Amino acid sequence: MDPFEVLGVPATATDEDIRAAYLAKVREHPPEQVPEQFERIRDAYERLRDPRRRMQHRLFDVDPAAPFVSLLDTHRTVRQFAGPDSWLQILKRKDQTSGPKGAA
Amino acid sequence: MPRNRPEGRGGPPLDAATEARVRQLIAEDDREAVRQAKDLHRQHRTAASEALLVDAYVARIQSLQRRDLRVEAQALIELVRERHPCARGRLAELSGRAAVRPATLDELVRPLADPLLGADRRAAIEHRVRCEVWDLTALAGCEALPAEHALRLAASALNQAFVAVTSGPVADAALALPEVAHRSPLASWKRLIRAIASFHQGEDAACRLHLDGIDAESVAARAVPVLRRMLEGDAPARQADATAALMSKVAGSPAAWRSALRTLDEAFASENENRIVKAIRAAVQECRRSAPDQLEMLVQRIGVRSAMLDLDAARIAAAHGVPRLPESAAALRLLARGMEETNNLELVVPACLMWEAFRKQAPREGWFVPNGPEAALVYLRMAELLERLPAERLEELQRSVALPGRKRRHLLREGLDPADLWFVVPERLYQRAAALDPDSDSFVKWMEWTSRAAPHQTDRVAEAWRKARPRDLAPMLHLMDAAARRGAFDVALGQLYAAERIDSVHSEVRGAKLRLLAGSFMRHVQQQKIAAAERELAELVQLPQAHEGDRRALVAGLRWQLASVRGTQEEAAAARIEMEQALGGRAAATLLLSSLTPSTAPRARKGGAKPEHVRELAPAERDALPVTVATVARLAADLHLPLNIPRAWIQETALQFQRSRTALDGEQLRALGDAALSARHYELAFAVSAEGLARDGTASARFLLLRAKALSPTAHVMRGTPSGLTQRTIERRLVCAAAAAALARAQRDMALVNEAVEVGGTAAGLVLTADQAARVLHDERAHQAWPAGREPGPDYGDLLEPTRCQCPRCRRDRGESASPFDDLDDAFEDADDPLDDPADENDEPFELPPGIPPGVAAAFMDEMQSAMRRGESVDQFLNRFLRGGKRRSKRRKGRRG
Repeated sequence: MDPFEVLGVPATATDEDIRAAYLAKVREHPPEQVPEQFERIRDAYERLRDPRRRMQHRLFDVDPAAPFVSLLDTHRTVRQFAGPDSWLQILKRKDQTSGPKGAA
Repeated sequence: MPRNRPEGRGGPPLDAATEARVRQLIAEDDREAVRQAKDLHRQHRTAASEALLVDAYVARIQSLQRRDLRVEAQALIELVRERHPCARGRLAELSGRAAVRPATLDELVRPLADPLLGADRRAAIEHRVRCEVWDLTALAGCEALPAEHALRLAASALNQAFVAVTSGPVADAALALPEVAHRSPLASWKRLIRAIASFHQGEDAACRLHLDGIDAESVAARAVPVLRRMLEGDAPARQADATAALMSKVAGSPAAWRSALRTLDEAFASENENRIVKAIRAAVQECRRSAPDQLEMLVQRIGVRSAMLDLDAARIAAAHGVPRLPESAAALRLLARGMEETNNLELVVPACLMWEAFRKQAPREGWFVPNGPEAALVYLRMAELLERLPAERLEELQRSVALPGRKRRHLLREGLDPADLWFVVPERLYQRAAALDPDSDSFVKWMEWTSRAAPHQTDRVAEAWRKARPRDLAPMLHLMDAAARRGAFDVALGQLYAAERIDSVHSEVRGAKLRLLAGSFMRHVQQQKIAAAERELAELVQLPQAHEGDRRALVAGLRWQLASVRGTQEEAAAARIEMEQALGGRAAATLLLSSLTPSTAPRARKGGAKPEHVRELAPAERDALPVTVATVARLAADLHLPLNIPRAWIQETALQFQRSRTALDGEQLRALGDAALSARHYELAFAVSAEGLARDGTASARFLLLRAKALSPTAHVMRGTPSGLTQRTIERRLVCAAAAAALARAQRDMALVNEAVEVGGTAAGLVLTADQAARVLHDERAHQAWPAGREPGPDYGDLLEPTRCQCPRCRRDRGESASPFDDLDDAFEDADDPLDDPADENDEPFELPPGIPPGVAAAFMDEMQSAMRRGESVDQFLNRFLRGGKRRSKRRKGRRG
């Protein structure tokens, strides 16, 4: 898992941000209670605490064989323009009910 | 019953339960509601019963209107208005709807042109416009109204805005729509248009706010449900209706997109090109529909994954149909990483080319500044990649690049422009990296590479390091050691004093001081410069570290040397006694003195230091030889002195070790192992490694490395071991070294990692996982016997790329270089031979020519090991070097070492 995601910091985080995030995560996931999660947090911190290692991660840690479904992680549905006709097909139908205001 | 009976002079009040029952019937649109309400009103004649009856009538009228029975509805309205005047207000509104539908829009709106039109009628018409008119174009062009009529102007503006907002982004100014008044029957259209604009801008909260303000009875309200669903990210329903069609056009189909990607993953996992091509077509099509913003990334990934599987590039490009995309930094990086992951040596140089292109492109896209630390890291990455290439191949490439013009044509034929291949000299990469980012790490990597590839250049690298980072200890210590090795102790001591100013308590600095002073002392003794030697001994004696552990024996040994040179026998004898007391015996003292005394010392001194024959040792001394040798070895290592152990002594030590192995602690075991190696007694080194491995603990990596070093091919070849066993041993050595490196890496002992890599070499990228290293450790612990005959030891063929056949034909097919002698192998190719049976009696043992000096033999074996790393078998190597290319025994398919 991406160490930035594990610590919940952006790629532009500073040393102080990373350290603060690490301490906060450790408080949330103490080693005696959730050792595996703590290990992940610790590993992520080790990879990011040193500016050089952080730089290496940013440059080289990309998986060329990542599954294609991982594209969904960064996918945000693009709202395309359908044109007026598609909307008019809805508007001309009398049996469309609006429902109460505020309902989904 | 009279029709105009006065109301309000009522009977008993209406009870709640009865009223509720009738209201329930009204809500259910039951025709019985009017009849019961009538009966109740007849009985009670109260305002409440009249109101109930009017409600029942209104519901009935609305029901008739819904069923488009307008004439009947109007008639009932007139009836109720007449009988119940209190209901006129409600009935007026119903009247507007109940009016007979005009045949055309013109007929509907024409009355609005009359400025004297009654308010009720106007309200009724506008109500119908609000609730029924969906065609803004028709309304805007309706000639029944004057061109400048507010309704036409509003319709026109709304129509224009509606078309714009559903077709593309619009500016906020286009949504102002001042032509549409707040009270206009078309006001809800304005809200709808603004809601659609907010939706496409991603301003979901604003969109919801606009939707909330739309009149529920208006035409615009018909679009509210679908907009709300799209805000929630709902998938379109399966049926093919207008709502599903709109949702599919606007938002695509997330489920279909996910399914297409899964299918693509499965296709690539199958490695079936036809299946992959089909899945690519479907995925790209769905991507265009559901996630057009991800098309570029999808095509890049498809390109890289296809390249990693070596699929037909033209076919893949035809399948996705996307024209060649500009090479973004992200695409170049992905491609470089893909090439790295294939572990295909043919892609090392192209991968470096990709990284170089990335280094240039990334600053243009704002990833990082040019010529900064990131660029340095890219250079180091490229250097790391080049290390995967066997040295000979890299040299061949460097020669090719250096050739004059026309001779480099073969590079051009392979698509490689020699001008772009400046980086094939790793030295240049390291220099650039260090220049751009003089970080310790850059210099450490540069030094490591230089130590392996060009050891004679390490001093130059250390100088550059020291110049760039004057406070780093490592280059100082390197230069100090280099000076000491060439006997320049004054220079070495100068470096040491500089290092002391930086960190005087550093273990290497402290150790170096003792070593350098002793070395300088011994040189001065040799040169008969007694005064200088005395000064140094006096300084050395003052060092606290000179009195730690067994080191006082060392100091006593140096005093013995000085006394011997001076000729002061009593002093020499006293020093000798002190040594024996410190080391626990005469044998140890003799052994230490033999290491301290150089071969060029005068005979008298050498005589005093010469170890006697092992049979002259007392039984107790012989029993203690393992401890003795270990102790002296550690002391000699302290001073970087060679340990001079007579052959008979080391052989006796090997015998005694079987009995006294458990008496040695971990440090002693390590020292004994190193001593065995330096004496080239590999069986003893092997036995020490077995004892060390059996003890478990954190030193497993170190003893596994000792095991690797003990499995020296020299030992087997010198004895005429069959080539099959030699090959198995060499492979085992490489795997043990790789396992030691893996274990050391886990312990973050980078010095040991480097040492292990040095022993194993890069071995064509042999890097073991933690599990594999654990398996090797387990197997080596189980095999404690020196490899021979029936007990060849574990077979690690599965760890050494058994899937890649190394026969010349396959290597040629893969584009790998083939030895000029490979054709001879083809000529003699046999059926499957028992290649895994090293005890095959048909294997002819190989013997080095008699009288070959050990040093030459060792160099020969190093060359053989390098050849095996390149993929040659023992037989092929021997064919090449010793047999003049003629095949002597059955050919065996070599496995890559």
